[in-house]
Amino acid sequence: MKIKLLLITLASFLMTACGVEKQILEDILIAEVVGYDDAGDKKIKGTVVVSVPQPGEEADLGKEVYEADSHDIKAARQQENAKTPYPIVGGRLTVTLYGEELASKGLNDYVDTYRRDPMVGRDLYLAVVHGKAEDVVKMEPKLIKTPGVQVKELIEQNIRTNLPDVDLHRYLYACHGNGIDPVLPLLETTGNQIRVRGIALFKKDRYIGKYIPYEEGFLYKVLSENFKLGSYEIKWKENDFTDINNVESRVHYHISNANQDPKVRIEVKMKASLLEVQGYDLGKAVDLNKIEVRAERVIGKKLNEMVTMFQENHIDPLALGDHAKSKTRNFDQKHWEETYPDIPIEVDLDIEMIQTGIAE
Amino acid sequence: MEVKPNETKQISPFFVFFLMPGMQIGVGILGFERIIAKEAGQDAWISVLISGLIINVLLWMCFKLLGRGPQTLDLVAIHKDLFGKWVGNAFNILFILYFIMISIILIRTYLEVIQVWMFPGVNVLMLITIILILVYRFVEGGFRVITGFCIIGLIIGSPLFLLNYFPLKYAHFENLGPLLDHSFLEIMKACKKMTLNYLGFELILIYYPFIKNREKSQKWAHLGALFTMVIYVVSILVSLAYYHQDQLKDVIWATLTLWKIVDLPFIERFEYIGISVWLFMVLPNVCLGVWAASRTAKRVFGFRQKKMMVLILIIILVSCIFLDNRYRIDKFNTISSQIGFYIVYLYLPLLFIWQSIVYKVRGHKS
Repeated sequence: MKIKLLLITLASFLMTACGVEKQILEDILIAEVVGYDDAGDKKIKGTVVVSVPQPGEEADLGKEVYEADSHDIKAARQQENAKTPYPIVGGRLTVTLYGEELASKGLNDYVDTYRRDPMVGRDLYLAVVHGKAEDVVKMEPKLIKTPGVQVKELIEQNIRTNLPDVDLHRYLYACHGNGIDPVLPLLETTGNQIRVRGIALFKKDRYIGKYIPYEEGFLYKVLSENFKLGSYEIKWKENDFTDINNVESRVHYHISNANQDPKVRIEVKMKASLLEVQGYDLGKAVDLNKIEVRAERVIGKKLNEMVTMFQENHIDPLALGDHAKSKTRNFDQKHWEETYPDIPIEVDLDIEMIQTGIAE
Repeated sequence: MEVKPNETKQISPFFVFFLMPGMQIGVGILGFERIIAKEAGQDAWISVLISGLIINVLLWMCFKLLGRGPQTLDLVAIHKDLFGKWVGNAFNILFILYFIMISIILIRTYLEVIQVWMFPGVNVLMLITIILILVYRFVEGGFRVITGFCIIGLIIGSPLFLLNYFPLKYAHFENLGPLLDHSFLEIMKACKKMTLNYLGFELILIYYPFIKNREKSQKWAHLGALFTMVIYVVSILVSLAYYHQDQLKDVIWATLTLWKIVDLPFIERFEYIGISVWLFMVLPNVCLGVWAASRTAKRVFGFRQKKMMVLILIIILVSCIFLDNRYRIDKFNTISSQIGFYIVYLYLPLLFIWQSIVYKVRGHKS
């Protein structure tokens, strides 16, 4: 019996390994940011920043850029491997960038691998680059001294105020779901800096070439989600601006009669505080009510314009179709899509100034 | 053949509470959402709830079956009592095959997860051999050891249910509306698809003699089955809120993919830990399945249980070699789900009715 037990134990020790491929940190290159551009002739050009581990106790991670042309993403990876001393692995990929041209042809084929590959996390950020994605990717390693990913931090920082919360999961959610269209951050390079240009608008997986400028990203965020930060500059007249700070904003969608004659009312409630006021009389206290009313008028108009723009372009980044579906029995998807551009959408904005900072 | 396990081999009725979810929660929970949501969309959770309740009714039937006659303490005895030796044994062999089938599904599906998610190049044959050696050791230890393992498995695995907290940040609970927008038929179809995930409660028909103070165990069995139901309902609710319905249609392992969103400061990819820990949920299942198969085989053929077990393990090993791609595994899963469905929803109630009739007739005679 004891011998038998010993044999069994021994056998299980001998059978470990099991053909599992080892990945040792020093012997791989970790892809951090990857960019894809249209290279004509149904080809794409992939550019990748990898961190190169260097020996030594306090050595920084070095960074290196590789590029390759191919038809699909994993083949591009293979091509890149032809130039690298170690295999590139995508497990720590944080940002994937797509050139404008490629994005306008449809991203489905180039996102699929990230959806399919279990190595890739769901908090991967996708973004569109105004111009060529490789410009941003190539700028990346020069920009930052400590190991870390510039583009990722850039997006993360701006998600708090001006960009909608977008990562791979949310993109897939919007792209696969009916009655909802995705949006992605739009980046650009200016001089030797990477900058958020705005929010790229999509029709399903296709970038429609239009975007919401960075400053108005705040307004889009107000329309699409509940959030707590961000500020917006209201222009009254020439040289007369007021900056309000969003303390808390909540949005509700009221959709009625979605199957016959749909009506939408978007109700936004914002609690705000004053950040900066220009052009008022020093002797008098600021008239909050007046500012509230005027802010509601100016911002409300902007919001209405934005919604109309969505309708004109036949896109639904606010997921109104999806909201309608979850509130309507036997929802008629086709009817909704046909009538969508003509649906009366009313934006009901309510701003409440709850404080004026530490000055009256 | 006398069914009287020694008291040192018996368990307290309370432990049935662990044996229920121990056998019911296996690999199904990692990806059942897609299949059910395909049928019933946002109402899928209602199907999960309904089939969970039906399972409790069937469980009640099982206890009725077991409690009626003086000698009918397990399935083999019931079959013999109702159908005689030959026909009864034919049914017993069917059940043996059924238990083996369940064990194969569990091991193969779990290994498929490992292959797809962690190590594509893993040597499946070796891994299965190792797992089967483990199973052998546990089952050899007897029913008490397996029960203990079920409890440990559940304790180790239960923190994973807390992971449902993370996707809540992304949850769209309005996805659940409008309530009951699917027809009764669609919801029932989803219920049918849900069966495979609830299978395992019928093992009570085999291990019933091993429970001390059997009469008290029914309460715990029902509580255990309800516990399983709660876990499934929570899982599907979270998945429905996290995924868009159209998106859920092509996510094979919805629960596993959901773990991807877990982002702790010290670990970025939680699903790897999840999959590894899940072995402790799968292994007790396999052990129970193999134990039930070998126990029934022993009662039917009269050989020693250990010998039967070795034979069964070899059958499992060989079957796993033939199930070598996603398509075949999926097909096997679907077929087993069907067989399980008919056994549980059709055969058990029929057996119950037949037994009632037979006992009535006998009662009249005497």
